[in-house]
Amino acid sequence: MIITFSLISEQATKAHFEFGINTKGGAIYGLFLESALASAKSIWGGGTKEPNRDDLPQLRAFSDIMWAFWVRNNPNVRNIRYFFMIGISNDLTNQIIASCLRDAGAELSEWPGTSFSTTTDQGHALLGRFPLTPTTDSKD
Amino acid sequence: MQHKAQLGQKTITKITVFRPETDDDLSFVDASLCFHVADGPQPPPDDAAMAATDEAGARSVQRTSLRDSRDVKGISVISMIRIHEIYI
Repeated sequence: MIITFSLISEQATKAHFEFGINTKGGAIYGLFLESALASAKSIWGGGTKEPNRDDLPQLRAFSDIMWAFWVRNNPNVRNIRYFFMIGISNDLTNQIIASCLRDAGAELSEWPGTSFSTTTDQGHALLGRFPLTPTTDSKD
Repeated sequence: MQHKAQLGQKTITKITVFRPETDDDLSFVDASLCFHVADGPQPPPDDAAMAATDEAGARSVQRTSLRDSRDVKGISVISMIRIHEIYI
């Protein structure tokens, strides 16, 4: 099942999510994601001005939208085993991926690819908990 | 991260970096990630969680006092003060 979803608020944000769900196997596939915050910044604020959060639709994060589809007609909501993000275009994420592969002496390859335990620095970085190179001014 | 009670306690054990298979002759293909989800440890019960916050242990104090006093017209007024103090 492939789902394409657009969100509207009083003024359209052009938020856009494409994702797949496999409730039997327990997998979610993120294919194309542009949150209401990111798209509104692009089309309301010319790519530079952050939108006023109150003007955005309340259900606006990918997790909000995806959850609605995950719980619907799903006999086993707890059966989530894999969360895929396919074809990552986010520059920062791709930089982190490149750093992790470099650290492991590996190259981007087809499945089974390269795995990082979440107990490692690389795993933490890919989870987005904190930056690979800690900065002094922010822990987020 | 978003939390949903219906999911139970979940944790990410590892992350796989891979390139999707493609027949196209592309010099560059965007990377993909797979987050492996597993059942996580159950959170400790509240008592244990509270005890762990303070080496001296957590304690709760409740005090109730009743005062019988007379107002300006000499009518009995009973006031009650209930104080809950929680130390963690």
